[in-house]
Amino acid sequence: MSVDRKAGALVVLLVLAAFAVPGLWGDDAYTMTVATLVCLNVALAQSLNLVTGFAGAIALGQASLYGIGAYVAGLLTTRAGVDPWIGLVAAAAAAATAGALLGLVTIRISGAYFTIATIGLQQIFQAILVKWDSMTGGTQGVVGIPSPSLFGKVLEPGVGFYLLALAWAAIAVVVVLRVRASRLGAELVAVREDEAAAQAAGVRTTRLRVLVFTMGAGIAGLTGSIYGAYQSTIDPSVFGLTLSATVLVMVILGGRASVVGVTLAAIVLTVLPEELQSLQDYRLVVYGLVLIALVVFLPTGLSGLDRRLRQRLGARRARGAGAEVIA
Amino acid sequence: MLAQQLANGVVVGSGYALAALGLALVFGILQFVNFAHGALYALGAYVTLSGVTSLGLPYALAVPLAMVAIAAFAVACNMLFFLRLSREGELGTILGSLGLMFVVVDGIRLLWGAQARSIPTPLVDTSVDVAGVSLNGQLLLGVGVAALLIGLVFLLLNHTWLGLRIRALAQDETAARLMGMRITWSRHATWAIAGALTGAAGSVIVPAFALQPSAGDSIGLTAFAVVILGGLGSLWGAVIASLTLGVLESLTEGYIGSGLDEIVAFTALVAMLLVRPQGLAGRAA
Repeated sequence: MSVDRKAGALVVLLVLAAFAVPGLWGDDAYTMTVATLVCLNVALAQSLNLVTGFAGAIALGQASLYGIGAYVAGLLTTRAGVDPWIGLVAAAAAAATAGALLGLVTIRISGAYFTIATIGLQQIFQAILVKWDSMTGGTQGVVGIPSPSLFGKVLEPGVGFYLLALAWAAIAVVVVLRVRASRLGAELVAVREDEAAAQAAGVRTTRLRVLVFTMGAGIAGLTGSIYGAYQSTIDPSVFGLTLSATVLVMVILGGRASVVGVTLAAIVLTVLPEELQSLQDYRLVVYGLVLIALVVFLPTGLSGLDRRLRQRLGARRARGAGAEVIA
Repeated sequence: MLAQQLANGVVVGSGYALAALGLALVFGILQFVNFAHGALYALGAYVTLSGVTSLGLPYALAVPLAMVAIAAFAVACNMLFFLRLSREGELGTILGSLGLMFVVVDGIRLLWGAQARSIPTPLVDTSVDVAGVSLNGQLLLGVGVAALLIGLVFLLLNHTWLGLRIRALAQDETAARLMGMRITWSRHATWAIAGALTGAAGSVIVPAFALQPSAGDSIGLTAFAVVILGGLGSLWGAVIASLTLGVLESLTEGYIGSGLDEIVAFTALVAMLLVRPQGLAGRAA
């Protein structure tokens, strides 16, 4: 409980700090672009944290759920003239439905097979986006996606859109924190650690899995629809393996099921590449090497590092205490 | 028309089988989920390109050069970090090999450039016509090399001392270790063979198409599809799955429309995982 309260306090601090970003770093277009992308990635990483961190399923297709959200909202607003706010809700609903189906259909597929199945479904999704030209605009994608308006004013990319993304990221973080603190979170961890034992203890595993997949996909879809409105243009190339891998790395680097760790990892992994513009040419090589080093040296992620440091400090303190007793 | 499409399908399917051989070994035997497989395949093609254009080697010598180069690269990676990745289980190999994929694909771009290249081979512009069916010479070479290497791998696994060791590793690593087998050497050997096969696949198949740093991305995933469709650890299963997929894609292209090959391949994969997770020829777990 106290850990949860500490995490909650840290989140409040992070959000307050985030509110000060336009004032501290300036509200120029570049800073606001990076800050908005940070918020979207935090929400997307938390959506995968539910599936990978809590349910223990290593998914490499989160970008396609993000893409479903972006396309549903984009097509509804541009083709059917639907209000952007309703577009966001429809996007979340569509992605959540896809997530529920994914959770149900893949229930017997475990381990690496599940990972490969999610990649396969993502390839199919991307191929459909390219092929179904008349509906999706093919490789050109959807252009001119309108932004939602607030208090009669259309949100422009800049401070306004940043605050929308920030609010959504905060909601996503709080939802995942609440899940972790609830009975649902305890059941999820029990299933992740030992499914048979959890079933024997009365956990309804199928219902649990579908629920968490639905929530994760819904968050990913709504995030995708905000991304679409922000960019105003979307095309199939974004919603592929590279983005899915990046999001998975955020969750693993942050430490599975650690809400604060994943949030920090999403911030670092979004800001760092932007700051390393001089290394732009070597970006993916560096990224790949970091990924390998991460698995080899830090398999439990940042939160694991924190735990390991604490253990070491604790051991030292214990040793110190022992020395005092002897003295 | 139908004969031509069936022939195209068999040719494409043989290419899949050749490309999937190396993955079938490391995924089936070492349980290493290698997402860098397609990148190694592309690297093999680029080594062939440099062998022919920079070193002035005849194509027939550039192919073995690529086989040796990719085998050496795979063994070096195995010595440096693959074992550490395996220790972290499936997640370790998934993330680590994704990292390697980014390094290799982008490394290719930095070394050779991003523009599309073509590998000059003596067979690229030839074609063979038999009974109204016309096939590209380079692709037919791919069929021949696929048949040869599949046969060699089969003999190696089932009739040699090394093959016995590799099969022991696949069955029960701990038991093999307890019998006094030097596991590390068998792992190196498996990676060397898988690397050589992947290098051969890249240098024989890619010349028939355009060469780009991303040349292996799609076929790397298709290789996963056929290895799983065939049943993990079953060489013949993978070969049959490759040929079936090739014919299925070719018929889809002929009667429904082009550009649907990925949809066909991955729909088959996901359907198989749902209905029969152990694959065509695999045993139930």
